[in-house]
Amino acid sequence: MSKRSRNKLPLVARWPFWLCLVAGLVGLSLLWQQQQISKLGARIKEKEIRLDELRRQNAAKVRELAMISSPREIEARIKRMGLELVLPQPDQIVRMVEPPSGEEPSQVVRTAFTGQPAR
Amino acid sequence: MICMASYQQHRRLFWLCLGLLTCFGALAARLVQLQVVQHEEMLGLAMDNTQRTFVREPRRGDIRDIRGNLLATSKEVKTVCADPSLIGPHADLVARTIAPLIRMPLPELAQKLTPRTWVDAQGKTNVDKYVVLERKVDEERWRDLQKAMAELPHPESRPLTKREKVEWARLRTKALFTEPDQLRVYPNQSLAAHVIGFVGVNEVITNGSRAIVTKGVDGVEFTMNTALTGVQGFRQTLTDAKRREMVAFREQDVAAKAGLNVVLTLDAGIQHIIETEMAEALQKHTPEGAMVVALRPSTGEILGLASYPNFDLNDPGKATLSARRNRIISDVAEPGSTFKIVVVSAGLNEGLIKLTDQFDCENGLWQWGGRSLKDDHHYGLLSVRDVIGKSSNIGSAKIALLLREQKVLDYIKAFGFGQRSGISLPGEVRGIVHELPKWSKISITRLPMGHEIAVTPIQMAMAMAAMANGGLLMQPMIIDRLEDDSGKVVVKHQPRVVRRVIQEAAARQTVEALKSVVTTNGTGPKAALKHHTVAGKTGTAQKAGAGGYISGAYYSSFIGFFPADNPQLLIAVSFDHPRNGYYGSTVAAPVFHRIAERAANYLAIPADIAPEPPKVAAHLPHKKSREPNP
Repeated sequence: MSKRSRNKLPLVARWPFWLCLVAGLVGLSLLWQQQQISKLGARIKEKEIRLDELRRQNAAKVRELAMISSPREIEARIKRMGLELVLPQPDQIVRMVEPPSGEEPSQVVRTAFTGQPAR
Repeated sequence: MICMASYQQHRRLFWLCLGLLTCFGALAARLVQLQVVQHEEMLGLAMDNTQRTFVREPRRGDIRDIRGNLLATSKEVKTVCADPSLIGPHADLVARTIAPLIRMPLPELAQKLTPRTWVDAQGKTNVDKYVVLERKVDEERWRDLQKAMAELPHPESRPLTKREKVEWARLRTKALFTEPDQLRVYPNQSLAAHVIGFVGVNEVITNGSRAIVTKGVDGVEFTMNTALTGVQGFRQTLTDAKRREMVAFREQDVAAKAGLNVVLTLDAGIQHIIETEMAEALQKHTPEGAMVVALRPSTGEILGLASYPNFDLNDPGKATLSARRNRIISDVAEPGSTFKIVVVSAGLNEGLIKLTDQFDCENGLWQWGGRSLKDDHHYGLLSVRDVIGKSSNIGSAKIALLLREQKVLDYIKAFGFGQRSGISLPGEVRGIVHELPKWSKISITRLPMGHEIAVTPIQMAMAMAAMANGGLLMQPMIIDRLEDDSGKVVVKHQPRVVRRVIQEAAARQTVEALKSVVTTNGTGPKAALKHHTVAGKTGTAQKAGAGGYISGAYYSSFIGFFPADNPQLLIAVSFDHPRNGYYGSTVAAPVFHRIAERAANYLAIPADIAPEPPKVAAHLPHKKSREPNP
């Protein structure tokens, strides 16, 4: 083997090595990427299922709240608990006059009937 | 020797190359055939194997009252279906396994699961692959069904062949499947049933996929169906060999657009007050029907609307047609004396009469057009105010005569009778208003007392609202706004004035006359309120049937509003054929009173009658000093 050939060989031997290395690395990174995408897909699916479940639970709670706060249910509970609530008379009602923001604090007006303050 | 060997090697190499070329050529030809010649067909097959399009059903919008209380909402449920072709000879076993979880008798279930064959037009024998077992199944029950199927034991104890194992696994996992569906839930059961309405289901097939569509059938569910329904979305994706979605390969993902939430002008609190008070009156008077509507006269916003008989919205199938009918907009009847407001206000508006003008009421019996007209009492001279207050038929007939036929008819039409009010509910009727050529000589004396005309309770309520608000006929309003699922207002409905019917001064005078109805001298003192001045009118009319009036059957009504000079709430109460009393003053007025008292409190309507000073305080001994006695 001549001196020239000996000098050339490592060079020739080097570029296929680097080529294979780069190709291998690209292949491996592609595989890794695909795996990550697949994992991410699975996580997305998992989260979507969880989100659906939470939405379902939330909707169930909203329905439950609507049922227990329905006028019929409240009235039934008042009767069941024997609270004996009665309608307030107009002179027992205190009306809060709310000023626009930034003005004096709210003024409490006790009215016996329209426009006239209670004695 | 060397040449010979080389020749043989070359020959072998030639044949090898030829063979390889032939193989590659054949492969290339096949590739061209598949990719080019049969491109479309193959593409379709490939797509069918991997690509799936899932329809994403939109959530139907909620219906809420003006305070945000939920009146109708949707729950995600499933329609459970079966593929009998996968069940094969095991129908009985599967039926026995799932029968406790499916609401269907065992024999019927077994029959449904048994495969049925049919021959198509090409003479090919097919097996049914789709039967619906039950609709509206909730998530929990579907999980139980899946579990029961997954644990399904094979009837034979011998070891199964590979093929049998595959078939059995398919039966366990794929024989039952579901389709998404929605269940409409009404948390308040029968509350405002005739306003909210109910839904039905339609099965539609789009792009080969079957979908169950919820559709409004009655009430707001029907009229606002388009807004409530929303827009379908879809997801185009790839699936693996086991038909599981590969999320990474989602191509198109368009989310469904949920339906808009409909916010009604209705107030669940007022509606409840109306329905509870109506239920009490129903026990006492056992009528064939009862109708109550409460609205704001200035805007036409309906706060409560109840019609009896009623039904549970969660089970509308059990209700009779009669119970599902919204009598407030679909039933017509002669209004009786409540109609007197039309001619009196017309006379005042035309300047033909004043409240103090007096009419001779002929001692309760008057002959006109060869027929007699009677009053309940023997009245002599009555002022216009008293004609309304005491509800004199003769007095109101004489006012109508001053107006003449054409004017009376013009005002009847101007007040909205004979036309639909325009309420956003289905099934509204126009009522019956005869044109002048159909009038007899006595029609002009009968119309003022609400005969020879048929109106709906909503028409009568809106006419009274026109008196209360200063002469404007408003369109009844039941929808306040439409909101998206984040609560943003998309459409806001505004009160709509249909027309001005009478001038403000005439309306004010009519209100003055209506105030006298609830005094002790009027016909409806039972409607009076302790803390609010009430203006209203009683009405009692004989019920018409086939061939004339039905003996002993009446329509009783009271329509009133308060505070009379600044009306906040109008309540119209009508009863169809009440027992234990039939006068509007004794049947309907007390119901008005009870509803109005509770509603005034609930809405915090300021009182306009000064409370009486407490009597007990006057008798208490006057304490001079708080100091203890020595």
